[in-house]
Amino acid sequence: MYSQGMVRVARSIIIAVLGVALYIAIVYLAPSPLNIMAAPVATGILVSRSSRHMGSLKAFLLGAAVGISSYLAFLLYTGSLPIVLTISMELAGPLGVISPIIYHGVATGLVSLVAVEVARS
Amino acid sequence: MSRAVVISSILVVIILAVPVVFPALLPFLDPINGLPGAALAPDKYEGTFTVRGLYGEALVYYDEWLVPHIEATSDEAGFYAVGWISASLRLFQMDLHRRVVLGNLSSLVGEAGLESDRLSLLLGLPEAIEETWSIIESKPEFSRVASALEAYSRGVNDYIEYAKSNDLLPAEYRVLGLEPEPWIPIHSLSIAKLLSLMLAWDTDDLVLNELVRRHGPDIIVNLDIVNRTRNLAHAPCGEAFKLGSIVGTDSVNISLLPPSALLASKLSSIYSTWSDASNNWVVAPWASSSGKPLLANDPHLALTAPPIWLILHIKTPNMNVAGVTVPGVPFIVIGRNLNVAWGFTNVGSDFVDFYYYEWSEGKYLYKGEWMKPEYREYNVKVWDPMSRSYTVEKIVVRSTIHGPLLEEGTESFAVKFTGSEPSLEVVFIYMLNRADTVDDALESQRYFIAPIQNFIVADSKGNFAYSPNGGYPARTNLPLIDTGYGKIVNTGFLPFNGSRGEGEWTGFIPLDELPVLYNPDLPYVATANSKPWNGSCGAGLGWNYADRFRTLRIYDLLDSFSRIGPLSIDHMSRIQLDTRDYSLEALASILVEVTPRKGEASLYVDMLNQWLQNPSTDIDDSVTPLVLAWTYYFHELLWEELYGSTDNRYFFKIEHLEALVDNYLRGESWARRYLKNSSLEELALSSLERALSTLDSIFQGEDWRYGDIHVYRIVNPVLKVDIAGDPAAGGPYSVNVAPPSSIDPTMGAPVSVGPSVRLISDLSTTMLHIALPGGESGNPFSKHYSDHYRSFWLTGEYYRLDLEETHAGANLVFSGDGQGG
Repeated sequence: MYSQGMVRVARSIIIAVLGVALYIAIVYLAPSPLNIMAAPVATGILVSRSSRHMGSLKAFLLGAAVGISSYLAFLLYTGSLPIVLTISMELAGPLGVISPIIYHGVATGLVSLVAVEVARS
Repeated sequence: MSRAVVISSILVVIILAVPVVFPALLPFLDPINGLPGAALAPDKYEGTFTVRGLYGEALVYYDEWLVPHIEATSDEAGFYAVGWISASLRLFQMDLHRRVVLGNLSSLVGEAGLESDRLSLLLGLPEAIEETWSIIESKPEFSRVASALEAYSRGVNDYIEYAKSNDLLPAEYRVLGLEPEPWIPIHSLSIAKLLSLMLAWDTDDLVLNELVRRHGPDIIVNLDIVNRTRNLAHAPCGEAFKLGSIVGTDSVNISLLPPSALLASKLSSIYSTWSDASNNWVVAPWASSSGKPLLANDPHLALTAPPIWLILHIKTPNMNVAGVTVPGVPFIVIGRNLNVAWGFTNVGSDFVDFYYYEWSEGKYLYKGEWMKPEYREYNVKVWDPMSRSYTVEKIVVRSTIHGPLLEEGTESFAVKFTGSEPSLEVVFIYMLNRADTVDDALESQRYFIAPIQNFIVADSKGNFAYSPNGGYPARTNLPLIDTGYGKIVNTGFLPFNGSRGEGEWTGFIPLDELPVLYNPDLPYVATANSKPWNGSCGAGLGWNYADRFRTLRIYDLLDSFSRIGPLSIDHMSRIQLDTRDYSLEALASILVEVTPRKGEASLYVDMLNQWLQNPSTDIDDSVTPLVLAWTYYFHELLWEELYGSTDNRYFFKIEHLEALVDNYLRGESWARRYLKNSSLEELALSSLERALSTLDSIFQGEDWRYGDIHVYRIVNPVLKVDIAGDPAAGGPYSVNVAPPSSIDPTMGAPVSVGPSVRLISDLSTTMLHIALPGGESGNPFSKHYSDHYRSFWLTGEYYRLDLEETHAGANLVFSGDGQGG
């Protein structure tokens, strides 16, 4: 049958996908700017459910990947990625391009890390 | 709990606080409500909307190019739909434009709009618009126009509410962190007034004032600044009226002219992105292959994304009209209906006068009496997109009996501007939309004041007319100016001495006294901002006309095509797309003549000479970069010699330059005196040096290619995204105009002004050919943001609209439950 490791990986993938869905749902449904504050928190906690067995760095990276994926998934879904990058670059320079990636990634990753550590303690 | 957890928790709080502490980052951070969310707005709206109190029903059919065809059972429903659709396509642009004239642009775009607001408020434009609306609202003969404006406003407002409640606001609002305010009829009038500001406002009197202060009044005659004898008139006076001789009063003391360089420089930078050139022409039915008139028009304005114009087709029980409007105006500004087609180009007349005074202890002298200026105060809200908050800027306007005072440093002039008067352009346009004949169209022109246009009109019966008329100021007490050639009358080209009551306006010259061509015995009439009339009938009406080159080229092409056979739509298109530039040829010929043939210069003179044998401005040409850069710098250096700086260089027409060079080469002492620091030959060599240095920096040793430096730049004013970047053929005075905004080693020669739309009508059909440099949608995420530019405008093709085409399956239905009035 399946090894424990394979089950863990499958579980992580499922939770990561659910995390992306949760993230986008919150961003869609909650008013701004509450939406982009609540989404990393809720998603980070959800993702931490699958990363308790991981080290802190891995927990952070998984959370960050889900946060960034959620943002990029929306841009890809709407087909707005190239224009958003162009306009962001024109208006705010590299900060305009990088800030959403850092924000969504780091926030979700850190929440995930904290949730894992709190659960362990 | 570990230290890592505590630190991580603190970091989480800090990061999550970013959107609150730095709200300006929200448009980038929030995918839904921020910038990317604008991509969710649909191109086409579908469904049925029930509109309470609206009389009638409007059906909206979008075609594959997103052009809305609106068919309504009442005018009210039709204009409601036009408002709703215009807002759905161009809401932010409408908001931006209404604010320019209302003087509250800075409450949308921040400090960048403050100088524009200051000038609009100073000129009293909001008051003029309010007065216009009270006239339209109160006079029964304008009730249909008032109803149309109200229905339109309602449509716009219903869309705004719909967009707000469905998160469909344009990307620009998301970036700025604002929402649109409701639309009222005054806002549509402000868009109409914007055209006056774009086309009739200028400060050339102040520039000429500085030239006269530097060189004396003879420069007016020497450079042929007012009479423009080198210009090519659009049409002969024929049997039109005679204005009569203009009689001056006492001579003006030139030494009293106060300085104006600071004001001229500052004011030229406000609204500087607009341009005011255009082409139009009409072909007589007997010279046309279809047996009916052909009419073509391409107004030259700033190329922006979205474009200034929006294509619309409006069908109601009272009209079937198509063409382009400026979003915010319910009617078709340029286009055609079933029977009448029309087009405009700007008349380079003089609609702005300046007045200076003797001042003492805060009072100005007026006809022997010391008078206190009047004061007006405005509090302008200035939006700060970074902190998402307003600050308030107080603007104080002082006015004399002649008008508001423009002040900069110690310079002070009162200003009188036709655009500051209440005016009924929307009534003109509304009546034009419904005109059945050329006579109807000319009759509707009675309501038109500014900006005066070379109005060309034709009908399906075969009539055609040319009428460059509107509100020409009637001035009294015109002073004489002593020159070495005798006395000339200051008809408004120089500032007036306000203390002596010079040049005061007594109203406008009655329309009946102005010349019109009506079915002239001419195969065609073309206009391209040159002087309207060849003969005395246009004397005193203006002086600041464009150089002759486009007019000459259009007539040359019409002549050459008509020698082969009758003229067709295809010929109209070929003329609109023609890229030969006579101005570059004229300037290159001058450079060949004046450049000393020594050393390396000889080689480049030979290149110019060779280019003149086949003067192409194609994108692949290798010599045109040199022609453009060399002539550009030569013109600039000559102007700098004359004026003392490169400010206001647009004032210096090539015909002025030709007069200077011709007389210099003839050995006229004044011409050599004007060039104090460098000889003409030295200027030719210096400009060659600058041109070569610029081209070296741009091409870095690669082969020169015109299309690599002469490139279209069509940019969104807020989001800065450029839809173009394509090589541009042509030059500053080709019919298919492509003037570089500057030439420099880093930017090359970007082109951001050009044909803002191309239109052609054949009155034997119900078709209209249109090429728009953008798309119908104002949403940069839409494929219809630039589809007309790529598929039609850039490739020389045309979108074709048939007024009689029937449509099936409406996308949108606006159904009213109101009663007809």
